[in-house]
Amino acid sequence: MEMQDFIEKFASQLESQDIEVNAETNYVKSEFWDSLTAMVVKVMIDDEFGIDIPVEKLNGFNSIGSLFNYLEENKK
Amino acid sequence: MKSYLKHISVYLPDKNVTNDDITAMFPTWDSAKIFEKVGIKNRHIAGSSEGVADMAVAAIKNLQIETNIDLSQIDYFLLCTQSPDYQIPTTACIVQHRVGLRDSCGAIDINQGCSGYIYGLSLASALVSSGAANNVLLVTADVYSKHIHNTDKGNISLFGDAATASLISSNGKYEIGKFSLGTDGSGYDKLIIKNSGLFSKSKDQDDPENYLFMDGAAVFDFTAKRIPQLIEENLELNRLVKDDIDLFVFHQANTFMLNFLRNRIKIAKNKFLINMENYGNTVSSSIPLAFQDSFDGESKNVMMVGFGVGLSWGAVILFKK
Repeated sequence: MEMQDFIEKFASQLESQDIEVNAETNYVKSEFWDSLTAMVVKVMIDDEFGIDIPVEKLNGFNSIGSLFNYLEENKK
Repeated sequence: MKSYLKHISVYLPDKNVTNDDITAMFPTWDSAKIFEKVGIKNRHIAGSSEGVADMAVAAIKNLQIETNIDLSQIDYFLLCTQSPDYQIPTTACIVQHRVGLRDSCGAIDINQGCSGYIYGLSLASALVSSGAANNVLLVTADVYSKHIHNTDKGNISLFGDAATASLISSNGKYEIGKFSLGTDGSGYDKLIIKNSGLFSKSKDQDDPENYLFMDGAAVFDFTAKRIPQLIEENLELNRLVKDDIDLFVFHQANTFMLNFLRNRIKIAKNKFLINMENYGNTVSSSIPLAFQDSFDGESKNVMMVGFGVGLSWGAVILFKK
């Protein structure tokens, strides 16, 4: 998967379609991030990468880009 | 022999807890967004001395008023609850006596949660289909509110108390189709009251292990993985396709999860029942409570889908006659 695809998939999990995100977005510190949003992103990651990422780990990245890099390195 | 769901009655306790009430309990909590996402405005809460037997009796009395049924016709009584008045004796026996079911009526508690209505229906349906019983009374009743710690703002927001009474018989409005049931006990600790039984350790009243614990993320994950598959299986078992279903009635956990599942399974909004904003998550009562307003409606094929604590799940299709 390309970074841009992942960014689009990430964005499509968010409640509002108007939210702009990019590789530098610090999603954990963003207005849109809460425990419920984390759950849907977690499911998307499992669907796309076969990785069951714990929520604590998902909350540990400082950008969508660094999350993507981790997932690409560890995908099943 | 076929079995039929004849009627659903409900009972909601008087006390109502609104979102404003909860905000007042937790003034530093930024709750507005969460309330909007989970889709709950009010929840009914049992009174301080109101228990499961009380609520079951009230639901049965409503059934009696609404159907004019002669309760001596009931030959099997199933009470689905996870918060019984007693472990010993069976709470269903207490209810038998209080409403005056005949003494040749069977009465047992079944311990199941959010999938409980499906399990209860599966037993009731089997009893009637086999000829073992003619009129089965299935009651769901829980007082989860009494098992939630008063600082647990998440669970306080989500759960409500309620009871329902359903009549399953050899005739009625909805023929009960085939059931798909499932279990995954590896997830037993995702929704649990650790000190609720034999291995209870704590004498300290305030120990969090005395109260409900829910790993929300794990439960959400489980439903995302299991439920789409469950629906496919049950459709196939009942020889239908998704478009044949006129109404899906899922366990009403919260609207966030319901909308997520609806999108994931690609069900049209107008075929997907959401009726929980004034009740919250009422455990095994949630499906019959949500469906009650649509019972006399026009939906021909209704799929009911329960899932949750256990981990446990089940689905069935009802066919309007």
